[in-house]
Amino acid sequence: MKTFAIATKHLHVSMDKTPVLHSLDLSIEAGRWTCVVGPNGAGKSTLLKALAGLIPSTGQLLVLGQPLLEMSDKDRAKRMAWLGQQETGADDLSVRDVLMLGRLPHQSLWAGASSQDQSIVQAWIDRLQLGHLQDRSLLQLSGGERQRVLLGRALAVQAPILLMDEPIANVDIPHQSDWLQTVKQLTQQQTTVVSVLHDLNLAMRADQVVLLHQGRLVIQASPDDPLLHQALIEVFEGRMSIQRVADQWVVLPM
Amino acid sequence: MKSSRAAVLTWSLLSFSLLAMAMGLMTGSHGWEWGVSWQDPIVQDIRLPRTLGAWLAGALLGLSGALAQGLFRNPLADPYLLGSASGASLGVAIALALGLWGYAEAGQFSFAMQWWFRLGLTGMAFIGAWVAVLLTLMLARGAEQTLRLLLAGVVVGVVLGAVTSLVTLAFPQTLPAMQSFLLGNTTMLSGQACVMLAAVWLLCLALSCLLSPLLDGLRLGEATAQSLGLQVKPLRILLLAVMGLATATAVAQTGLIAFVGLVAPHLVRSRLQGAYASLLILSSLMGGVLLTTADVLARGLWAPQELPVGVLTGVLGGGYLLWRLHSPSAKAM
Repeated sequence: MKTFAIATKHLHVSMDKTPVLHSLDLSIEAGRWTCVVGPNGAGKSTLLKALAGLIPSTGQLLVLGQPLLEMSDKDRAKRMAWLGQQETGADDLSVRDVLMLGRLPHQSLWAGASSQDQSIVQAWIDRLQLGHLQDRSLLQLSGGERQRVLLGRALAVQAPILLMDEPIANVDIPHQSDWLQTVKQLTQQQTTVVSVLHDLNLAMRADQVVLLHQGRLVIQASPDDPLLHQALIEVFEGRMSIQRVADQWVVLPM
Repeated sequence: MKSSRAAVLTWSLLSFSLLAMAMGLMTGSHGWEWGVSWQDPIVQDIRLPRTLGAWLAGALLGLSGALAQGLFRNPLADPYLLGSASGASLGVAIALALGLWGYAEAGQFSFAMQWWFRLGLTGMAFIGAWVAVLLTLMLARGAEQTLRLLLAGVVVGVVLGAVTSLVTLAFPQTLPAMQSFLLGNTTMLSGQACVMLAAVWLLCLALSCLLSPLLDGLRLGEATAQSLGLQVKPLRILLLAVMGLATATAVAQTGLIAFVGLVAPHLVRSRLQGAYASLLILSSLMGGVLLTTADVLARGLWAPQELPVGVLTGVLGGGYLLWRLHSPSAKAM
């Protein structure tokens, strides 16, 4: 039986009194990678923020079976890690310090980092191969390295759900490949991953694709579903084709 | 490695503080005197509170600068650029116009009333500082846009400065006190002022360190801080209150002393990066060292003529920032 990490019913979000998301019904499967796609202004980032509880929304929003509104801020943070689009700042912080920020949900105001926090951060530094960079500041890193560190910050939360908004924008192919590998490993360990991606070729590697258009859900389906292909071509004004190449779906602009 | 660097910096700043304070005790109206007696009433009643008070006021300004830079995620934010010091000045001007200073000068205050005088002055400065910060945030529509925030701070500073001048003009009896206040002066520091400064410093430092996880979380933006389970709005308001209290207390006792709040965190960050709690403590110690040193120089450089310490910190701090702006590491600011 399928279990859902996140489920929404009639989810509605308005910004400055303007409706941005209209009555969205979504079910995000636990332990799978779901990718949110759509043209610019479709409401992808807004949806991710609403799921993370960072902006107010109406309707029903269940996280791991519990209404989001009933959770304390700390509980919410321990269940859902969030990686924002182009997180900036903290340039003077070292890589280790940035990862340690991910442990904040597990710390009280009175106590600093515990030995457990230290060992979890060290484990992610090793796993993401950041050991040689750990004492460098963010300012000294390349764009790809920086994104890897910020991903490490989100992963150090050790939450069962990971939400990422454009995590590999402006990242080169080897780093994209590393990211895909990490996501695959996370889902194998039953972590639920929800990402917003502009790159449809990468999005078609997800387990599920959620297509949004003008704040409405067009379809939620597997990348193999022909209905998804048809919907994508329609939403993107017929200016692309989707083909099977080397056992993968490839989206080509026309 | 980092913790040892923090320990070295802490001990260095504590040593420099003691050295600067010793110099302060040895600096009189005729310049530096090498042989001073601890029993000398001039040392006990005038130089000691002045030196200790200068260190505490500097420590409050350093702390308040580090708080402002963390809260607004802006390395150029300081109590002066955000208008809070101008607001505090206006608060003090109004308090003086209401007659507080006249009574104090005329010696009509009992010991208890002297305390009320200090508290009243600090309270008015606190209200002024808060109003100014709120005005700046309203004009800038939040704290996210760096340029808008700084421009709003400048506008609020200029307007409140003009209102302060107007109050001074309308009540000419406050002119000498206000002039000394606007130039930044440590001559007004008494034992009572030191007790007040020390109490507020300890309170503000403890609260800031306690709430410092918010500043750490805010480094990657408000949404990230929120996603990490931090209650951004209430914690931000609390830290703003701490910043306002620290600025107002320092300004009410010593007048306008520019650049200490801006420069102290920069100097610390150029030596050490890491969690905000240590940055707050070290910026505070650095502020104390800077203001005590500036005060010693202001008293001794042209003795018997004494320079207003605010003028000296303005010149030295401005020079330092210009140097930092043109240094290769300016990008890290």
